[in-house]
Amino acid sequence: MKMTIEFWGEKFEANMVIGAIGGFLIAVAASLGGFGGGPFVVPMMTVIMGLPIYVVVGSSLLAIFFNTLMASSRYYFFGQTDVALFVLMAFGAVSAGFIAPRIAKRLSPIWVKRVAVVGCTYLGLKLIGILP
Amino acid sequence: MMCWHRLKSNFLLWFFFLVFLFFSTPCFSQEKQAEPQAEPAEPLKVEVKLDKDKYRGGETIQITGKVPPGMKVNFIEITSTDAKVQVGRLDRKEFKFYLSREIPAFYTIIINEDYVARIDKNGTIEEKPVKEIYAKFKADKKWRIGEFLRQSNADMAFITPPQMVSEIKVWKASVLWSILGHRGKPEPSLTEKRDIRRETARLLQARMREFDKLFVLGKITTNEDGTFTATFRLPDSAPKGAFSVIAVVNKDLKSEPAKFDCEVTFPKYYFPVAGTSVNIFGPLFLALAVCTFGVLMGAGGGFILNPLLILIYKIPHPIVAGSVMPTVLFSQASGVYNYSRIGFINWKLGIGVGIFMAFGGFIGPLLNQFITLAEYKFVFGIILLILAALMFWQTTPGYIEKSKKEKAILEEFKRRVEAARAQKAQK
Repeated sequence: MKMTIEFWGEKFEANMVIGAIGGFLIAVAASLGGFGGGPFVVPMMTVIMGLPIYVVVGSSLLAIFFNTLMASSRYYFFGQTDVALFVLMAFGAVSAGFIAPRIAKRLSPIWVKRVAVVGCTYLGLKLIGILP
Repeated sequence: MMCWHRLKSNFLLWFFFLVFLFFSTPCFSQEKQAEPQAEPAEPLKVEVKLDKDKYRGGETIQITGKVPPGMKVNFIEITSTDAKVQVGRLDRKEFKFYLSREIPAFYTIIINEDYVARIDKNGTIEEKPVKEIYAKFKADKKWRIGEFLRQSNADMAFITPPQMVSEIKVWKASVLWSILGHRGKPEPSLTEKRDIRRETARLLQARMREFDKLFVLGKITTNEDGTFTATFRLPDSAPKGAFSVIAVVNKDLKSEPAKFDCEVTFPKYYFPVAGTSVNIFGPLFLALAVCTFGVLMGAGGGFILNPLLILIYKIPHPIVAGSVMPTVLFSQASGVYNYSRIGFINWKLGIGVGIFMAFGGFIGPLLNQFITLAEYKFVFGIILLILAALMFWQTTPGYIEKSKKEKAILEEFKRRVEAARAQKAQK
């Protein structure tokens, strides 16, 4: 099922079957893990749904926000939210929002991503038990 | 007259002779009274005391006391009686979900390393050094607490947690209920002592997770005169509040609880839902560093923050997921607001995909309760490896070239928006 979307005068066709199923599956896995799913939603919208990055960058954030809002409410309802821990980390996260743009200008985003690749690979192998 | 006098004097002689006999030799009833009464036997008791009544995480507790001569202290149970947490677990055999809000945040049993366990095997008693049993269970990743308590005889020291738990809620889970986002069909709560004891042990295993955190093989030295000593190092992450210590000789002989308080002072803070004390600067700077890195990458950072909190601070995974999720909510909300102000959100696309993501977000937290830490780590590990592969692909020259054009268009759009705004402001 294709949906026509308009963005600054340009029209695009978005495959909403992929968007719906992919979004649902990403949200299940991401909310189970405790994160929004952004790193998966953007490639899903650009690569699989075929939309350009300038259309996706804001809209994907809105889609992820739905997941995060719903999952946060559910976790709170289940009694799994430590409010003190959340407040402490929120302080760090909000501060990051001020600091990151200031240092972004001095760093190459490609190299930041390459460091993230190494870090995520190391963490991933440690979690599945391949690394001690 | 003379006979009468003679009779009288004979009678008096006999009378005084009998009186003399009576008072000179103890009579039967007096003997009986004079015999010391057998004193009732003193009840056997175990005394236990601690060197202080207040400790902090990381300090060593000196446990001393006395047992009847000839006996030994074989187990010492240490329980946090103030700090209680919510623990849930899915029983995969019965497919039932058990939940209690009264599980002690900290629990351990010190087992005397010299103890020889006696196991009843169909009428015959088998003796085995507890060291061997301990090593076997420690090496087994699928160890079960009930089996260990029975085989090591430590079940005689599993005293306080079943007394603390008054009710355990039960749901009969199923795939359909899970799809609907519910724990399952509610069943009558466990209230029978035996059922509570069994399930409390299993919930404690789910809470403490590692075998050698729940059971510690230690030196409990009992001297010939019955005095005993043992030491225990309170973990750095010990919860605050009252603790109880009970020394156990056998199933019929144990001490009254000795009490102490664990103090948590700045910069440490006790997180009540997590049931653990952590230096506040740790999670604060971790969140700052990870979220900064995440924003630089164009993501929130939650997918890195979750595993790091589990690996570094050993916070239970349900609490980590439940606390990190709302953390990223604010940065996302702020991003949505900023993008909407400059017209960079296609509401149709965002809401269209977002509704289905909301359904996913409804189910994910429920599945989080059903999986064990080992499964959570495995799933997360796979997610991170897929993510690493995706990001690697995004750094390949072909992808960079393609996205350069799109990013250039994005920057152009942003410049036009800023220019339009500046013009408006001038007018």
